[in-house]
Amino acid sequence: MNDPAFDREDEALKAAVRDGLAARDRALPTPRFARAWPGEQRLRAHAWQPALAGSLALAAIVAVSWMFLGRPGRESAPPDDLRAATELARELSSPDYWRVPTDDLLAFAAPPLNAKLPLPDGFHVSLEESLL
Amino acid sequence: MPDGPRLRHNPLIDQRELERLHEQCFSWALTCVRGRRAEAEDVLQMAYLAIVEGEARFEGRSSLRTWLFSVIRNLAGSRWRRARRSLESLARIAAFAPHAEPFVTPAMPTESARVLDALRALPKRQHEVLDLVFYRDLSIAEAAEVLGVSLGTARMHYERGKAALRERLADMGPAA
Repeated sequence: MNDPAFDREDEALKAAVRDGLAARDRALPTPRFARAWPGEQRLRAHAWQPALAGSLALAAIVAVSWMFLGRPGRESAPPDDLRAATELARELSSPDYWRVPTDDLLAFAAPPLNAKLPLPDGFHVSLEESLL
Repeated sequence: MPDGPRLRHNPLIDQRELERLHEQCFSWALTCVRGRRAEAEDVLQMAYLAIVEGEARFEGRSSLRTWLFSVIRNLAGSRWRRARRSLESLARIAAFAPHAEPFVTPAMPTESARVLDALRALPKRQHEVLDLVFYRDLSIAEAAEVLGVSLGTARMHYERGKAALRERLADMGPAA
């Protein structure tokens, strides 16, 4: 390390590197500090933005939940069909179910068949006769 | 030493001192991203943001300049690694070869361009240690701190870097 020739070589190399890097820095000038510096005040000025974004996201989630799940805490009324079916099931499960035929049950009766049976002329069987 | 406003999350840092070191920081960022100006600006902004927000915290264990250089280098390294990984993936998918911004500008003297080319061809750590010791007058111990390596390793990179640079310059011949 104490060889003067070695030191001279090092000095020459050092000077070449310095000149090279200095030329690069001159060719690519430094941008102004203010352009790169985010600044605490500038950061504080934008600090509300994440809070606003969070609030908007939360509001959107609540709105979507409200729309699809209904208002929280409110018991939604069952539809009419379900109510009638429940009532019918309760009546039919009672011991005197055979007394049951109610308006609701009749409402579930099959619709009348609007078709003519091919019967011979003058042949008539009443309902009572057919049941005998 | 300037006595300016202190940063809220980094009370040991004086903003005016940072401003004074800004030019050196930008120059070092340029070295860390191999001369790409836009990348260097991004890295420096990221470093300043990390400092203002307290993600990078100066505790006074080294000089502010050494610490700043190491923050810049770490950020440039992680950015660089991410970018390189993305480019490698792209290259695999579409046989895409990235084109780097020109490192040597036409306005540069030929000898400087020659030295920069030779420096650029060195392994990254050798390039960095020569930049820190020769150009920024850091000691090898300080350079070791910036690079996050032991003193012995930094010395090895320094010696090998000098030898490799000499050899490359000799291979390139005298400047035209």
